[in-house]
This record gives sequence, structure tokens and C-alpha cells, in this order.
Amino acid sequence: MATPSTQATVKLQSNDNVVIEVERAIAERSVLIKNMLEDCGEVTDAIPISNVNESILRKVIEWCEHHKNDPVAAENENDDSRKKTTDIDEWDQKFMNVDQEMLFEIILAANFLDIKPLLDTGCKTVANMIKGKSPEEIRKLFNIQNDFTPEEEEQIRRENEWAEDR
Amino acid sequence: MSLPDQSIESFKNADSGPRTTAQPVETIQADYPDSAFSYYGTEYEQSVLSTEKLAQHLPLDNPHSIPLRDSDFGRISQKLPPELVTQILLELDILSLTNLRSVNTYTRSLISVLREYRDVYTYARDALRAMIITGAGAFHTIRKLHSTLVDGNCGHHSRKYWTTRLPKGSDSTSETTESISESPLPPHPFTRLHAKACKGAGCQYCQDMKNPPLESTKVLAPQLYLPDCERICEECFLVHGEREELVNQGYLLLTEAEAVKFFELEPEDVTKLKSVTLRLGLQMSGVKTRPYKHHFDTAGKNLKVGQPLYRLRDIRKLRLEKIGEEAPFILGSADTEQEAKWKVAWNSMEARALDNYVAKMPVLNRSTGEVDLGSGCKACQMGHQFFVYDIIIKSIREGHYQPYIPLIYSKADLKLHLDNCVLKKEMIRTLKQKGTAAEEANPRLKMKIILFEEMLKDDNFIARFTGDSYYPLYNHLFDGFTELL
Repeated sequence: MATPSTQATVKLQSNDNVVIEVERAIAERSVLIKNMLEDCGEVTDAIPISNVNESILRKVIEWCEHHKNDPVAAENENDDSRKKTTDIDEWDQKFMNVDQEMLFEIILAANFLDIKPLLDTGCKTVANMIKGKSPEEIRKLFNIQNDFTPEEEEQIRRENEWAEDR
Repeated sequence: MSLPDQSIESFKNADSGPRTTAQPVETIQADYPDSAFSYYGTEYEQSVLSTEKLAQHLPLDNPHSIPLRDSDFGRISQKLPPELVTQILLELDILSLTNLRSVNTYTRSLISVLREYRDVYTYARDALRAMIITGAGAFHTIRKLHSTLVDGNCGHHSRKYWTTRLPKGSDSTSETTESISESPLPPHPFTRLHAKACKGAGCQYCQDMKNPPLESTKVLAPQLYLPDCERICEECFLVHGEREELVNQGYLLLTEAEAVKFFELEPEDVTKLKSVTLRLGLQMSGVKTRPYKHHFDTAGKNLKVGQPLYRLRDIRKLRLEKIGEEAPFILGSADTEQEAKWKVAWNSMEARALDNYVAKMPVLNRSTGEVDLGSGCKACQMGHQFFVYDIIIKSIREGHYQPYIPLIYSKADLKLHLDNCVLKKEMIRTLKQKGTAAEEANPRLKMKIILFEEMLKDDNFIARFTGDSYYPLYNHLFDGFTELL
């Protein structure tokens, strides 16, 4: 590993060739970028983020800025802490209040850039969209085709009878 | 393999104490039924949600599977790769996940093959059903339920019981199983679940049970406490006041009316809290009523099916938020007027029957590799108390105390264990030596008498069963208490 660099900012280049300069500490919320910077030392050129376009990249940076002081979860306790927190904090809820298209793009970007807390928040947001909805509402929400026969639907209703009238 | 029905029947009869002394003496004398020495029977089964009723009311899956057709998860599967879809599914609570299976054949099969769902469905279906029908599944993900079942960190137990015996001739210094391993662990893809499920695991509530030390003499935690989706040990399950105050800090359940009356909360605030629903068919008919100090047993008589119940812990938190005051646990002596008020309040709450909110955990049947509900060896527990009582005191004083760890066995393992249980043999020997005909007719009654003869000499011991610090773990042993005195 190269010696840690003292560089204060890094440049990130989106797949539509827009270069955005951000504080190094903010960019390092991304494990991908963090590892890259650790491996390469001083990086003066813009780092190409090939899977993410400008608007999504800006959105992700906005999230990283807000969460730059969050403690980074240790590797081994990662699983446990993620299991326990089911709620999304208020700021994140507002942040994630975007159309489906953008939400999925943010999740993909978080996955690519390896920003686990953002990925979790994204997945939880999608999960929250599904929670408490009827199968028909879920179908409408995500444009899902119903391929059950009426008999099968009746069978499923019986299977889950108690679950339905909770 | 399971215990024969006849044996279960004789066990049930034996349980009814002095009234059943007319059984044919020679049958039992010749062959003390294994069931007399195990917890396999109504008294143990009553503590949990009935398997039969669960399956009847919530099949979860039909025998006729629905084929996967040409469909997808709509925009989600069009935009996101499978690993991220899985992650979303794992964020869903159990009820939503079950509901999502009704959307189309793709989501149905997607969830069916989800590792966590498949594992729980295969090995702990009743736990899954119970989570769904009580509504407790609304608060926990399948990942949480799965991780409660599977925990690779149970180092002590997996080491002690799950090290495969090495073939003869190999290095004898290597670690081998100590007590029950007669055959190597059958190869199975779900070994980690077995490792934990088989021997129970630490109770989430009393921290001393979380990683039970070798010297622990407590029953491990074979039950799943539904509202919290955590393992719970028998002592916490049949919690008594002191433990609740010191350790649990109120995880039991209360009705809305109780929350309003005793905690001075507004009904609309209470109804916003997470709740668990009382379901038809879950209330056990055989729950006995006892004086108020054993408040768990008196609970439930005014509850209605479908009634939402709230966690005491949440209610206390809400009280602190809204009123800014703690609700202190005063279950014993009360010094001030305020404390006396709380003492009355705590002891008046009725909705605290855990019986309705606990699902059994699966136990590995080592012969078949399947999982069944577990049983405990009564001879070990009683025999330990009776025969080893003096020895324990002596050995603790002399510093070489040998621990006794009660275990939950699969039915086949219990059978194997009873064939070799030293304490059972010792107990039968003593029974034959000391018994009268009536006592011989009912080995369990006889065991009780032996226990009483010995234990009643000890004032402290009697105080545990008659005083305020009643220890309900053993109450089933002393059903005949008044008749015997």
C-alpha cells in the first residue's frame, strides 16, 4: 500500500464526462474510492465513475456530505448492526423521496461505489414501499404482471388466510 | 422415531398425581415408561403454540406447487441485479414477505428460494407460522428470524456437542463429543442451524445465558419469544418478579386498557405502538389458574381473541416520553405509598401470559437428520436435584463442582439418552427400594415423594416454593403439593 496521501480533495468523473471535485473525506465514504486512493496514493486526475451519471453522482455526494461524520461500521459488527436498525432517519427519508427510476439508480451507484449504509437505506426504502400494500397495489406500483390463475389465487389466499386479516 | 402413543398416554395418566394410583402395578414396575422420565407430554406441549392448530390455520404452502411462468418482478428486476433484489427482500418484515409471495409466480419462487426463507420454512415452519399469525412478523425480518435460529457464535455448545467423533485409531488427544454423540453428525447442508437448534442456545433476556458457561445449570433457551423474535430460556419464559425487574426490564405484554389505567397514557398514543395479536386457537385450554403472585398463570382470562397487546418495555418508554416519569418495578415489599401503588399495579396486570407468544424451536433428530420438537430428560433434572444435591454442596465447597447442563433432545436422542441415563437407573433403583405399592404404581408420584422427603428438610428450599420468590421453573413437579402435605 502506498503512503497515505494528504490530498484534501479528489475529482470524480461521471459517465457523462462531468468532473466533480469533492473533499477527500467525503469521497472516502465510498469504499471503492477509499481503497483506490489508498492503493494509488496521490491522484491528481479525475477518477472515472463509469457506471454513474452526473445527476446520480451529485445525489450520492450529497448523501456522503451529510453522513461524512458517521462512524464507519467495523467489518465484523456490520451484520449485527444492520439487522437491528430497521428505521430510516428523517433526513434519509427525504433524500430518498425521489422517483423510482432515480431510487434504483442511487441503489446501483451505492452498490458500485460500495457505500453500504447508502445501499441499505436504498433497499430499506424500496422495502418500505412494499410494506403494508396488497398484492394488487404492489403490482401497480412496480408494473408487475399477475400470472396466477384464479384457482391459484384462491389457493394462495387460503394458504395465507391468517396473514391477511391481521 | 417417536415415543409410542401408549407411552405418552401412560405419561399423561401418571401426571395426574394421586388420583391415578389404580394403574396396574406390574406393568409399570416391569417397565418404567420412558415418558415418565421425560418432559414429553402435555405439560410441556401446553407451553407453546399448538403445532396442529398452526398447520391447520396457516398452511403457508399448498402441496400443489405453482409453476414459475414467464414473469418478473416488474421494474425492480428490470433495473436491479438479483443480489440487490435479495437484499431488498431481506429488509422486508415477515408479513410483507409472505404477502409478496402472492404477487406473481416470479416473486413467489424468488422468496421460496431465498436462503433465509427456505431454511426457516424447512426447519422451523411453526416458528414462521406463529410469527405470521400473531402479527409479530410485522416487526421482524426473515433475516432476524433466521439469525435467531442460526448462530455460528455458539462456540461452547457447538464445540461440546458437535465435534464429530474421530475414527478409531486416530489421534486420541483430539477433541471428541462428550455426552450424547453416539454417531457422527449426519452430513447436512444446514449444519449451522442444527448446531444451534439442537441444543438450544443462550436466552436473549438473561445475559448470563447468552453464552452459557460450562458451569451453567440452567436449561438452555429452546423457545422463540415471538414479540421480540429472540430465544428465551425456561426461567425467563416462566418469569418471576425479581428476574423481570433485574434482568428483563419488562418485555411482557399488556392490553391497551392496562397501559391506559396503570401507566396513565392516552389510548391514541398506546395504539400507535407496535402490537401483537392474540389469535383464536392459540390460547391453551389447559393453563391452570394460580394465585396472583404467579401472575403468568392467572393471565389471559379476560383477553379476547384478536386483541392487540403491547410490550411492557414499549409502554414504559412511552410513559417516560409523555409523562417524564419512570414506572418502577415494585413486586415485593413497598416502602412508600407510591411504591405500594406500583406494587398493586404490577400485580394486577393480566395480559402477561407468555404461553401464547412462544413458538418451539426445532431440534435435530440425529438418527434421521430431520428436525423435530424437543423433549427434556426429567430424570436428569429431578435426579440431579435429588441424588446429587448433597454432592453438589460438598463439591462446591471442595472446589471440584461438576456442572449439570439440562438438554433438550430430539425424540430419537431422548430415547437413546434414556437407555443410558444413569440418573434414571438410580431413580428406579431407589424407587424399588423405598416404594409402597401405591407409589410404585406411579413413578412420577414416587419421585415427587422422594423429593419432598429430602427437600422439605431444608427451610430455604420450602421458602422458594411457598414464599414470594416462587420459582415457577419447577412448579410442575409440585402439582401434588397440597395433597401430599
